[in-house]
Amino acid sequence: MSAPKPQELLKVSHRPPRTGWMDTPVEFRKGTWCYPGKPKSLEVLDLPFPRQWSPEDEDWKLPPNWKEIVLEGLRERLHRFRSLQIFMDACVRCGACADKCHFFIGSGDPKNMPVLRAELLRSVYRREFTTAGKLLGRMVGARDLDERVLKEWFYYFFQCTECRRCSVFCPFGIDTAEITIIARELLNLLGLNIDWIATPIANCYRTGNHLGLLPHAFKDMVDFCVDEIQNVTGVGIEPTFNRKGAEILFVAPSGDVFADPGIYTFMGYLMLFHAIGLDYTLSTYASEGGNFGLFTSHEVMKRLNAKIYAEAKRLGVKWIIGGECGHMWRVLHQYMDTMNGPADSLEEPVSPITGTKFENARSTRMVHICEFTADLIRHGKLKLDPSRNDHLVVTFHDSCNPSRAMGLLDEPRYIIRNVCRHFYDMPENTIREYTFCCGSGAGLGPDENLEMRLRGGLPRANAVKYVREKYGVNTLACICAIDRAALPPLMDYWVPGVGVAGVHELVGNALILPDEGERTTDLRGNPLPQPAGAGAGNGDPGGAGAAPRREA
Amino acid sequence: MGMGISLALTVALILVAWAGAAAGLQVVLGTVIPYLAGLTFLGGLIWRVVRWARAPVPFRIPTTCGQQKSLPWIRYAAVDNPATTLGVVARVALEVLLFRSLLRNSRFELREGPKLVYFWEKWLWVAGLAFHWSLFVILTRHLRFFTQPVPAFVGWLEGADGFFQVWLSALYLTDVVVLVAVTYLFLRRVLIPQVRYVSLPADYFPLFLIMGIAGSGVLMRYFFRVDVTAVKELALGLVTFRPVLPAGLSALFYVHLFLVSVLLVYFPFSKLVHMAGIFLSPTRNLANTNRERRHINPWNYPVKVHTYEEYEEEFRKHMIAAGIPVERAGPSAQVGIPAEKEGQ
Amino acid sequence: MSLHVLLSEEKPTVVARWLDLLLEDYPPETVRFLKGQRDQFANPVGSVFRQAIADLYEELIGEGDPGRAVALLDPILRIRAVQDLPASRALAFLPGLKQVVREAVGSNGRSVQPPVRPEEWRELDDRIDQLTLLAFDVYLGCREKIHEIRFTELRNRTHLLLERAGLVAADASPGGTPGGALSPPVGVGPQAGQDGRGGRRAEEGEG
Ligand code: HEM
Ligand code: SF4
Ligand code: SF4
Repeated sequence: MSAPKPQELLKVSHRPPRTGWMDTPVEFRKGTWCYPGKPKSLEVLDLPFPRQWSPEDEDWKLPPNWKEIVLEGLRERLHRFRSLQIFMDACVRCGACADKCHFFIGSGDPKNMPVLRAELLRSVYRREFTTAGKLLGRMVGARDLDERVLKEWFYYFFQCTECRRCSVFCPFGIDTAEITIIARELLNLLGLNIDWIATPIANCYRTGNHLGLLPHAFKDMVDFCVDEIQNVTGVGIEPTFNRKGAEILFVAPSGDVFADPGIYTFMGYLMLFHAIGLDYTLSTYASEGGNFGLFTSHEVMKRLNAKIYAEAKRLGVKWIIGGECGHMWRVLHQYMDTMNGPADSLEEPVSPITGTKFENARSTRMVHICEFTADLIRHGKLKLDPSRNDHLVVTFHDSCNPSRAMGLLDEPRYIIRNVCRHFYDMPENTIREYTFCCGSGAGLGPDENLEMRLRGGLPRANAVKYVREKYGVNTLACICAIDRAALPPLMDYWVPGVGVAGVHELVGNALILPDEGERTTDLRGNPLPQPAGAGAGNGDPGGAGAAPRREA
Repeated sequence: MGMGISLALTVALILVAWAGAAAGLQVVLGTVIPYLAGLTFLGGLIWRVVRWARAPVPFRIPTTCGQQKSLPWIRYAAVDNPATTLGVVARVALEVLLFRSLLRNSRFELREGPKLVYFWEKWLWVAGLAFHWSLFVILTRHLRFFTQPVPAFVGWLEGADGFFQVWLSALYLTDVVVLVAVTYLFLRRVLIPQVRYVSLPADYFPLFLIMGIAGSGVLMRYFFRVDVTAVKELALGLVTFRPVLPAGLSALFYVHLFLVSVLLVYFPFSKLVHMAGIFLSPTRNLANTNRERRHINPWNYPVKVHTYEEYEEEFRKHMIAAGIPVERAGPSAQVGIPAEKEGQ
Repeated sequence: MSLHVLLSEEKPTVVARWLDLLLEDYPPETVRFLKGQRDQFANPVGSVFRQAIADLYEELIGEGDPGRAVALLDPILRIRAVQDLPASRALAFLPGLKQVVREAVGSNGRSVQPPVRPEEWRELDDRIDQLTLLAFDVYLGCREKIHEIRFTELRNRTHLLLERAGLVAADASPGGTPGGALSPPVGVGPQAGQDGRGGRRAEEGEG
């Protein structure tokens, strides 16, 4: 057997065969799919058809009537969601969304164009639910549902991070994230989920948080943060757990409680609450603000989310503050009140420190910690020394959900400007509502999916690289626990030298606690910058409290 | 090839109409088919919209494209992230009248190398707007045929549109624009591989149909003049339900009318319903007042949850050992729950 | 006329064709986007390729400094390394340059020029080979980085912390089982409470 000559090798065309998208089946290559959900996890939530299976196998062990189940599921959802009907019918295939998806930008796979991702489901919808599709088939883009199609769904709907960027650009607001959510619901009817989602939801259901930390372990992790705070500041903080009669329940994404670098953000929360003497409690039962149910089905989302109001009621708190997390806030902002409200046992939130009424949270009664902190800073209730963050040159990553499903854009920036002196935004078509996803959202963060994540995260990283080269940025701030996990490897690969921090970690660094000792390090134990040359900061300080309060 | 099929179909439709006119089927082409088409259009569109409207909007899911309304001192994006009905109306109106989201495509700058160059990528937006506005103006101008007396605004519109004089008659700007724009939209579909890849025969068909309609209209107006009085007679007859078939109408006219009828029939069962979709799209037509006002889901049903009691039951031992307060000291638990902080 | 002069004169052609060659690995739907969208933030892959290919060619026919060549190869290969291409394909655009250059120089009626001496061709080919070998190192470096990230992601996050807090037995080695035992960054670990690690272990440890 002779090896091909180099010239011959090069003659081979690398272009895929020119088949239409309907005739190009998926190939499950390693690094592009996530491991399937374990049967044990599905069982915890009584989800259908738990079994051992693998996407690579020919036989997915589908129930014999799987097609009926899916089509019946689709019919039901068409009756339940106007969004689905309109998104199925209204697309004109103008292509405006095509190049807006980070997965398409990074991978070049045409089926990662949002319009085509949606067509995967739309084609079946047309076949089964429209007269034109029944009569004319392919002419109008209709095709039969078969196993190949189902596999394609699994592949591509678990390659969408539900980031909604495409929806911003679509002239009809067609939201492929919504289509993905419903398509995943259909897949889940057949027990087709990925483990990185299935196991966290099972854990969360049983133990209250995604990792499955039991109550005492959760407390241990918090105590660990408390010890670290004492090491850095000399201040002892004593958070309470499941305490009845507290004024406020605080719910964070559990990633902040145990994962590096989330814990520094968690320390920031605790320090903040201590500094203002807030009457609050943590809960071990509602110890997870995040909700991977969003990535499974509306029903699972509701089942997991129910704990928050239930616990608030049991403890008799007045209102709730939620920590920094992206998809968590999508659920809290757009779904919680509708699903599990009304929150009758609670009161309309009023900041006990500033007296500000959070009118925008009047019904849901849950306030984003960035709204809460921005209000504190605005009223001058925090003593801040932003020079303690002078070693950080900061840029801010808008997480998808707070940006495009809420609009929390200026609160975190206001906070950062007050606790840091070097802040530079990334180019405008990569931030705010145009922000690029970290590439690991919607449950797509497992390590077996790393290459896909690096691909999808490239547009984000590329913009960070730009501000790093231009302004020397070394810190990527964010308000999301998934980001705090997903961005460090992304930076490590694409833009080495940029660390990732939660906004409240930066707050924690700058915050002067009433009883604190001399600080020599930041929360991570890095030595603080020498306060020599006062006013050295050439950053972008803005608003009240930006000037250092502490003399050298 | 999807395009070929669509083109062949359009040509076939033209031939059918031509042959019909030649074979003396004016009654069918001039009365029966237009009525059937009008009926199908109305019925189909109503059926479609009612079907959409009947499906509930279980969650309030606006796509927010700007700062939310939160603290009073933070300026919020009243249109892109509306918090009031007025804001929503403005948002939808901008989408309908100006294709605002499509416009977003383009604001970007090219920052390659040291130079800062602005890069225009608005062609889709321009062509889309030109196409739709021209269609709209043309449609309005057609009111001249369907009304007696003709409303004044139709006259004004004609005056404004027919600014240029050619061969003793006004050349309507919109006629040119619609043909150019529809050609651009077609070429774009064919030439941009990304867009071609996602295009279906059903995407080419309306473009050909509109080309056919506009083309036959232009021919009638500027090249093979049609008897306008006769057309008006026919049109008025149709809308007053007293159909007449004036003599002397050319086959070209019947081709035009037939293609319009086909478009009407096609409309409710195809992507052309996007016209109605934009008004009902839940990501655009809802205010982002999610936490301020509770949104009701009509089919919200109770679900099985893991209650606190079940949770405590399972983990009580650990909770007590860790000093976490419990509701009920279990039988096996030691007495003396570690002291809690303040209160209860 | 020396080959060197030809190469500089033909730079625009060579660079354009070389870019085309590199882009042959992507579906045509995508190529148009990669080439057409010139905003570097909306289209990082295309921008990086375009810039780096031009600079790389400059370097190749110029000084040919290996350090700079590596720096220019890095952005291209860093992208190629995560794009689901086998190494042979990821690097194929480099040896492919030989053909591209010959075609470009041969076109435009160049063939009637005084022929290029074979040694000159050989020298160019040597340089391209050199570049290919360097690229191999860079590519491998990227792949290693990916593996390293995967490994540290497994360890760093949950593991160290849980270990520090005494919640995980020291022997709980990362990786292995589907779902990447200790991988999940956000603490959404598939492991804990489910298959006896993490939370469950904590339970046993303390209970
Ligand atoms: C409220 C009214 C309408 C709005 C807001 C609207 C909006 C849009 C938008 C934003 C697009 C995508 C961009 C483009 O290709 O131009 C589009 C495409 C299109 N619209 Fe409309 N439209 C409306 C009514 C109509 C009507 C009455 C027709 C008549 C037949 C029509 C025919 C088309 C066609 C054929 C396309 C596809 C163009 C292509 O293939 O590239 N639209 N429309
Ligand atoms: S932008 Fe909207 S209408 Fe256009 S192709 Fe994408 S989903 Fe369809
Ligand atoms: S929601 Fe985000 S990931 Fe999904 S298709 Fe749209 S842009 Fe891509």
